[in-house]
Amino acid sequence: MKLSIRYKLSLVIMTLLLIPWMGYQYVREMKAFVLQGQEDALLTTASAVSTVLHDRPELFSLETGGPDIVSEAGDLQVRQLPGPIRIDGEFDDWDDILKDLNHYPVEPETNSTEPDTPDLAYDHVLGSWGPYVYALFQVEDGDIIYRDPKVRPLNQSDHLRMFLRDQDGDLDRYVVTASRPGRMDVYKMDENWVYPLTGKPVYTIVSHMKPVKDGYAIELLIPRRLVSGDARLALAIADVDDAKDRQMSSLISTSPTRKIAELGRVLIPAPEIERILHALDKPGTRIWVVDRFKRVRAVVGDLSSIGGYIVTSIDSNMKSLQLWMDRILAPIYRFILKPPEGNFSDLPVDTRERSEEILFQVLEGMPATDRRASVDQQAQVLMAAHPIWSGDEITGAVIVEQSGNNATALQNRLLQNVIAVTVIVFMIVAIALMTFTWRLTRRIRKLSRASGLAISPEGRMREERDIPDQKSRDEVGDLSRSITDMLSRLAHYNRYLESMPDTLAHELNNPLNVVNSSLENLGTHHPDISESKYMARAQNGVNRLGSLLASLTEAGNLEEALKTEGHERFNLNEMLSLYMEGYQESHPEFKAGFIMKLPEHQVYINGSPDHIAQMLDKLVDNAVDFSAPGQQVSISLSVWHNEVIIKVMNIGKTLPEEMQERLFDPMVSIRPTGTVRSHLGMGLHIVRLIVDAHGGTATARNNEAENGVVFEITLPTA
Amino acid sequence: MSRSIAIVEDDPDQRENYADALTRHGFDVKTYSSRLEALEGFKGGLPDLAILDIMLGDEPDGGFDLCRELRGMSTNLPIIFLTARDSDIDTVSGLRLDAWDYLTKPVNLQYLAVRIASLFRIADTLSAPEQQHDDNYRHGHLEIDNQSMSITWKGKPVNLTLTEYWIVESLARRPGHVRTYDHMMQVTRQSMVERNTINGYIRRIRNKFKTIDDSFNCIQTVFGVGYRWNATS
Repeated sequence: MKLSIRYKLSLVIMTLLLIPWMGYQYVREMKAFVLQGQEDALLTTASAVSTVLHDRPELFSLETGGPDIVSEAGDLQVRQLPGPIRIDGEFDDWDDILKDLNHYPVEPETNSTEPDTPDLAYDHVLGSWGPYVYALFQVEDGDIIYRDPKVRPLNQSDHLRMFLRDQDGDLDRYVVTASRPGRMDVYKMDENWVYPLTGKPVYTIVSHMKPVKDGYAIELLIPRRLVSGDARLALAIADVDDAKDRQMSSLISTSPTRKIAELGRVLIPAPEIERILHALDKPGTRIWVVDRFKRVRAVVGDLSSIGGYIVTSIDSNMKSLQLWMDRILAPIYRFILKPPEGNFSDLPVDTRERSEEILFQVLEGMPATDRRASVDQQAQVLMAAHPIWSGDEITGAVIVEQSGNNATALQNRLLQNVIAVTVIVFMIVAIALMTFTWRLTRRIRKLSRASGLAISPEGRMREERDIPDQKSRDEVGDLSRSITDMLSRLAHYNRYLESMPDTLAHELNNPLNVVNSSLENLGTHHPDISESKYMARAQNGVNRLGSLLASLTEAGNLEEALKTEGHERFNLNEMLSLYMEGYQESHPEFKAGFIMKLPEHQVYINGSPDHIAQMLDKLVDNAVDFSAPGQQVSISLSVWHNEVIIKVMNIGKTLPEEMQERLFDPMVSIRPTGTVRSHLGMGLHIVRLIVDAHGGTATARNNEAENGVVFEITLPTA
Repeated sequence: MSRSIAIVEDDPDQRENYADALTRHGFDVKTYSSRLEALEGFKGGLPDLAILDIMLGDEPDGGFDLCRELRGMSTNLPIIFLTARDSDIDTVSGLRLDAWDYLTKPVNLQYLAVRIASLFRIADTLSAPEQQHDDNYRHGHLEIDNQSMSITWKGKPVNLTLTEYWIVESLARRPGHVRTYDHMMQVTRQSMVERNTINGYIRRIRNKFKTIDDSFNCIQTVFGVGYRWNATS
C-alpha cells in the first residue's frame, strides 16, 4: 500500500489527540486531589467545631432539647424567646412569637371530647428561654367560671390540663386552675382528672391567668428538664359554662390524649449549640451535631449552594477567546461532561437520627471521613466526622458535610479548558502541518514531474528542462539541484553519444578519402591494375565503407535539417498513394506488392513532406526487407481523435520482446550480420527523429497473430 | 598556358593524390598544408582556382577564414570546398562565403577534374560577358545558359552553385519526367550522395528561386522516387 507523505503526516497529527487524554488523566488526578484536600479541610472544620463543643456536657444534656425542627401534628413546637417572660398574663414580652400562634380547635376536626362545643377556642404558643419553657394561651370563652376553693374536685371550673410523659415513660396529669384572676394553682391529678393526688399544689410549674375581652389569657412556666429529651406533652383547655351545675362542657387538646404514644413531642431548640454552629456556618457546608445515641442535636447550613469562587478564578486571561470557544464547543461539553447539579436534595433538616457507618466509627473515638451520594443521587457528598469529648467520654460527634460538586465543577472546568486548548492547538498544528505538507508534497511532486518530463517517453533528453526549486536552500532545493546537475551531465553524455557516429564518420572520412583517391590514382597510373578484380573489390569495399559512414552522418545531418525545415500542410492520402506508386516503380524487384488502406476522407497533417517520405522510405524498406518471400506489405492510414495513425505491417520474422523498446535507438539492428547491404541500425532511429520533430510517436510490436511486425506512427492532425 | 590550381589540405596523402590526379589532367597544381602557408604562396600571385579543406591543422575553420581572405583579394576566383564535414550548416556557411561549390569526402577524382573544367568554363564566360550564346535552353520562364552554366528565371539570374546548376539543368531538360534519386546522384558528380543530401540540394534550389519569385513551384517532389520539373505551372 502506498502511503503518501500527506497521509503519514496526518497520522502523526493524530497523536495530538493524546493531549485531551493526558488532560483527562491529569484532571482526574486533580479531582481526587481536590476532593482529598476538601476532605482534609472538612475534617479540620469538624475538629474545630468539636473543639468548641468539647467538655461542655450541658450542651448535650436532656434539657437542651433537639434541633429546631417541625414535625407531625400534635408535636409541640417550642420557639426561642428573646428573653425571660414575666408570668403576669401580659403578652407584651413575647415579641414576634405572637405571630406563630396556633389556633385550636384545628379545623375542621377538633379534638374535643364532647360533640357540642360551640363557644370554646384558643390560640396557643410555646417558647423557651434559659432553663424554662413558657406556654401562652389566649382563650375565647364567654363565661369565665372560677374555681370555688371550697369544692374539692378540681374539674368544676375553667381549667388547663397538662399531660406529661416524662423521661421514664411515667404519665403525669396536672391541672392548672384559678379561683380568681392572677396566680393559678397547679395540682398533680388522679387518672379521672377529678381529685388532686395530694393536697399540696405543685410549685415547680407557675401560671398566671388574666381575664381579657371575650375570654382570658394564661401564661405558664414549666422547667425545661420536665419536657426535654424524649418527654411528651399535651395541653388542653377545659371549659365550664354553667356556674350552677359546674359541668365541663368541652375540652380542646393540642394532641390526642388517649395513648401516651400519641402525645406530642416537645420540640425545643438547642440554642447554645446552634448559636455556636451558626458562627461556623459557611455556604455549601452543613454541620451536624449528634449525641452519642446518634440523635441529631443540631444542624446548620445548606449543601446545595455551590461556592462559585473556583469557577470564576480560572478564566482570568484569554477570557474572550475562552468564552468564544466555550460557545462553539458547548455541544461537545454536553456530550462528554455531566454538569454538576446545583439543586440537589439531601437529608431533610428535621432528620432526627443518623446511622451511617461513619457515625459508628466516630463514636468509637476515631475521626473519620467518608463520601456518600446525596439522597436523590445527584451529587456526591463529602463527610468528615470528629468526636466530641467530655473528659474521657464521648458525648457526641460533629459531622461536617460538603457537596463534591465544587470538585466536579472544577474538574469540568479544567476539562473544558483542556478540550478548548486541545482543539485550538490541534487546529493550529494541523493547519500548520497541513500547509507545510501540502507545500512540501507539491514541491516534491512538481520536482518529480519535472524530472520525469526531462526525459521524453522515448527516453531522450529534452533540450529544455525546467526543474523547479533551484534556488531553495533546503533539502528539496538540494535534491532539485542535484537532479539538474545529474540531468545536465546525462545530457552532456547523451550529446556526446549521439554525436559519436558523426564524429567518427568525419574522422574516418579522411583516411577513406586517402584510400579512395589512391586507388583512383593507382588505376590511372597502371591501367592494367585497374582491370584487376582485386582493384574492383577494393573499390567496392571503399564504396561500402563510404555508404556506412554516410548513413552514420545521415542522422546527425537530418537533425540539423529538421530544426531548420519549415512545416507545411499537406494531404497525407495523396502523398501515401503517390509514394507507394513511386516505390513500386523504383523497386520492381519487390513483386509481392502492397495492400493500401486509406480512409474515405482526406487526411491532412502539418509537416515536412520530404521527411515524411524519408520516414516512409525507412519503414517500407524495413518491412520489405523483413517480409517473408511472397508476402505483401500492408500500409494503412486512419484517424483516431486528433491523431493520424500510419501502420506499416509485414508478415515475417517477429521482434524479440526485449527489442521492441530499443528498436528506435541508434545503432540497434536485428538484421543478421553479414548481409550484403550494410546497415548500422540507423534507419529506425531516423524514423524516430522525423516522428519526434513532427510531435508524434513511433512504436513497433508484433501483430496479433504473432506472425509479423507492425510499425505504428501517430502524428497530430492538421 | 595551363591553368593554375591551389590545393590547401593539411593531410599530405590526400593533398598529393589530388595534385597527382589534377596534374595528370594538365593543370598546374600548387599545394599548401596550412592557411598561412597558402597566404604566403598567394602573395606571388593568385591561382586560377582554389580547392580548400575546412579543417586546416589546428584551425577548425581555417578553410572558411582562408576563403574570406581570398574573396578579399579576388571577387571572381572560383573556390571549391572539399571537406569531410558534410553538415548542412557547414554547407550553407561555405556557400554564403561565395564558394562556387561544396564537395564532401570521399571525392571521386574523375568527377573532381570534370567539375574543375566546368568551373573554368564558367569563369571564362564571366570574364567575357558580351558574348552572345545561341544554344541557350528555354522552357517557360526558365533560361539555361550552357556556356556560362548560369540560369535565369523570369529574366533574373539565379545564383546557383555548380552542383545546383547541374540538378536544375537535369530536371528542366526533360520537363514532366521524374528524375530518380539514383539519377540525380549521378548528376551531382559526387561519389557518395544520400537521398537526404539530394533533398537538401532541392530545398536550397527552391529557396533560391523563391527569393526571385515567391510563387515558384516548378520542382515537384515525387515521393519515394525523386523529383520532376513541372512543365504546366
